[in-house]
Amino acid sequence: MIQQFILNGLIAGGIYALVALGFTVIFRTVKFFHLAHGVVYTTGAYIGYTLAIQLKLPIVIAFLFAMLSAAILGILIDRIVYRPLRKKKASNLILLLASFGIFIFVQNLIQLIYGAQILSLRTGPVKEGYEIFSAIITPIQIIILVTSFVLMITLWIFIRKTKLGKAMRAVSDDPMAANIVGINPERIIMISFALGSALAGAAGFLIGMETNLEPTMGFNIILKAIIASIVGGVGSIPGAMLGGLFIGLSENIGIAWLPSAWKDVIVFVILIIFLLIRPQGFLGIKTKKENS
Amino acid sequence: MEYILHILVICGIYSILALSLNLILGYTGLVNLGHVAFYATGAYISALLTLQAGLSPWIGLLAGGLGAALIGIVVTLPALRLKSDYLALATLGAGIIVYQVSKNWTSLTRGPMGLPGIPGFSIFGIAFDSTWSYLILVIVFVLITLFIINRLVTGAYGRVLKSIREDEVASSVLGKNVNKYKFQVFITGAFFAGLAGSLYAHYITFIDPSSFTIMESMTIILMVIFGGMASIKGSVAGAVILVVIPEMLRFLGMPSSIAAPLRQMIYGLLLVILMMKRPQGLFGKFRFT
Amino acid sequence: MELLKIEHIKKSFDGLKVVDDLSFTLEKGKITSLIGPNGAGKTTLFNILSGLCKADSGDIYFNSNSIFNKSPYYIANLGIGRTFQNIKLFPQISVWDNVLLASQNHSGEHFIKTLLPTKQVHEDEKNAEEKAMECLEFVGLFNKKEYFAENLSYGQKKLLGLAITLATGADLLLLDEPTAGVYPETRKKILELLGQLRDQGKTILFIEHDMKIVMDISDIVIVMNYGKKIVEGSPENVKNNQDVKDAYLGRGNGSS
Ligand SMILES: Nc1ncnc2c1ncn2[C@@H]1O[C@H](COP(=O)(O)OP(=O)(O)OP(=O)(O)O)[C@@H](O)[C@H]1O
Ligand SMILES: [Mg+2]
Repeated sequence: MIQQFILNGLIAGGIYALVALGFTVIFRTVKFFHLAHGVVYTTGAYIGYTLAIQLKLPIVIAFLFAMLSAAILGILIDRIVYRPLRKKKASNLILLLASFGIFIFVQNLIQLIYGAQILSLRTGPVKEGYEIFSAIITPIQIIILVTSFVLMITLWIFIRKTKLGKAMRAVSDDPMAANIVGINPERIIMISFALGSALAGAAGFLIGMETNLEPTMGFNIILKAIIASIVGGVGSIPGAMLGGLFIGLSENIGIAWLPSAWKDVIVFVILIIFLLIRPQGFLGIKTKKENS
Repeated sequence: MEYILHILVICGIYSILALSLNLILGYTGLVNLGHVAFYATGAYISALLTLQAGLSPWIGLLAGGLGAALIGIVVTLPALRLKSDYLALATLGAGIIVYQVSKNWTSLTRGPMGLPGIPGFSIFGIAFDSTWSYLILVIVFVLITLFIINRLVTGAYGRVLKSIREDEVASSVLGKNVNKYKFQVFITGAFFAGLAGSLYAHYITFIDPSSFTIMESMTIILMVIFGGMASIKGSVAGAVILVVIPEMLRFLGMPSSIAAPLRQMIYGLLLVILMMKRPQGLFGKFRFT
Repeated sequence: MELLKIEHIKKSFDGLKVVDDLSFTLEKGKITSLIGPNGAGKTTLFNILSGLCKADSGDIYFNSNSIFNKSPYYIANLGIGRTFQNIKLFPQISVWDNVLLASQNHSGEHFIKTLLPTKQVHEDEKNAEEKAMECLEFVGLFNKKEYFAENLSYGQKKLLGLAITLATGADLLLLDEPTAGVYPETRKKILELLGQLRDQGKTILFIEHDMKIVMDISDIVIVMNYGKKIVEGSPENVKNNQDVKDAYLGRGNGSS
């Protein structure tokens, strides 16, 4: 029985890790909690619904277009709202509140277009699952698991190995210095939003194939993604993945004993414990309050 | 007429919520995305104590405020030592958790079915059972809130709060125990939000989780920012305007499946525009940068 | 009489020793200047003294109380005030309120007492106002008291920072480059003020890059380099010290 919970935890954890990773890629360049990332995830799922279910496009095409639209939405949010605020040197508090506003706006736009009812990206009947280690896994779940891990590893390699990835790291460490050596921080921020948002869109699509879509689905996920990145260490790429898996596993193993409605409560208890005992997370460096 | 009185009661309850959030957000500069958690806690505690334990609503009211303050302690304690973004996250988490508990702890809260038949207030055998008498009760509480929050933000104490908002490091080297102030402000704000929750529960006589979603936090934040951060009259004005305008939209006769998301969309957009163009709101002086 | 005693303070950031086994004492009523090239660790030492930065080891006594790694507010309450190199004020608050914030043990800053104001609260506020007026007049900013602090000029901001620190009534003033980047007239004024403060019995530790100022005003000079104290003594002694010349020549000229 516990094997099943672990497997479910891995699948959920993969999704969380994907969103947390996207969040982290963006956080590293803009340094504030981009809450609207959650609604980018929702958008990916709903665009996927329109393409795959309403227009009956092949699922792979729908998936890629969902990622693309999420990326475009991410870039637009940055261009229209964050960038002008950055120019004005607005504080994190302003950015956070603006981000909250964007979240509410897009979520309700989706609700207006698609209605509040629950939709699904499932194209056929649920197939018989395979049994491994006495846990059942369906073909869809295998696809979700594999896709999320492939995306994560691709992104990780991209950031570590390519020139662009190195430029992104440079901007994250010291934007001023990066600017001096000829890297344009604004361009890098745009690329981060594109990449990070595409991951969120992908995650939204994947979850839609397994469970359901509802307009409010982005709230929970963004909270869990942020908590995952805190648990892993804010700003750390491997930390985001580790944190996502940790959160997915803990909530699913936790409900082996508790009623499943308490999943979210388990996650927040983890957050509180981490904030109290290890605010820098597993892999992060100590967050210091600035002083001078 | 009855309808107008009803709107005024709701304006009063939201004024208390906006004023208490303004103490935290506008004056002290702490982002609180989960004010609804305190509001819900007050409503549920007060309703449950009167329904299940048969206590007087007045005791429920006090317990609701104190219970909300306790949630305030639990939220701020771990997050205060860290950067303010973490506090924002912790408060958002509190908003979600309280909502989840009210929805899922069905043996206590009856979950989505809600708690009906919450008794109203009465004093010396006189019941506040008509809308106009309840309005008087609410006005009394608005005045109490106004009085206390005004005291806190105008004198030397309020000066310290503003200094924390402006630069906590500079404030601490002037000998101010910054965390102590943040803590006091959070607990006070939570207490009043709890009172507002109780006033709401005993007025509507029925509560369910749908009144306490995170959208409610959004509405209260918008009231504060729209009216003006760090402005007392701004909070009251913001509350009144944002209660009355959607009511007027109701007369346009849109079906609620369109009106509700449309209203929220406008709220979200308004928040973004205010942040970009006029962070100080209608009456505020403080621009939050 | 010794007011401040620093013993073997050490602090490193990511393995870089920024303050390295530093010890010295400050006599009451003297002006001591702290000099050294950029990055010598002077500001970091101030941050440790005011509790904003936790040192790795050592000890610090103020009036024989240990203040080592205590909270900033606790240290401030004992009577240590400071200014910041990159000026820290409360921008969207009036100049007047900026200075009033410096008052210590103001009962109106107490939660319960502000709700139920006693006579004490009014008295404390009156005292704070008198002190604020005195300090603003001292730096010549009284006519700007209604301005938001963010609307002052750079030099006026420096003066306001000084006025705030003065208004705390602190016995020990830690001033981080109080004259850097200000107009010569203003600089002269600030230096006069420092002299007057010493005559009032205040103890001053200040960081300064301008050698002429250092030589003119200091009773004692302490020279730091790479986190270590290399020389301590009277201005004349320090001026002629070979190590000091080496430190400045070897690491570029820190003076302006
Ligand atoms: N919070 C910090 N984290 C990492 N390194 C730091 C930190 N604060 C200071 N440093 C480093 O410590 C060294 C000393 O800095 P400090 O500001 O104390 O020098 P300073 O003597 O005041 O120089 P200046 O004359 O330029 O003001 C510098 O190399 C600086 O980069
Ligand atoms: Mg310095």
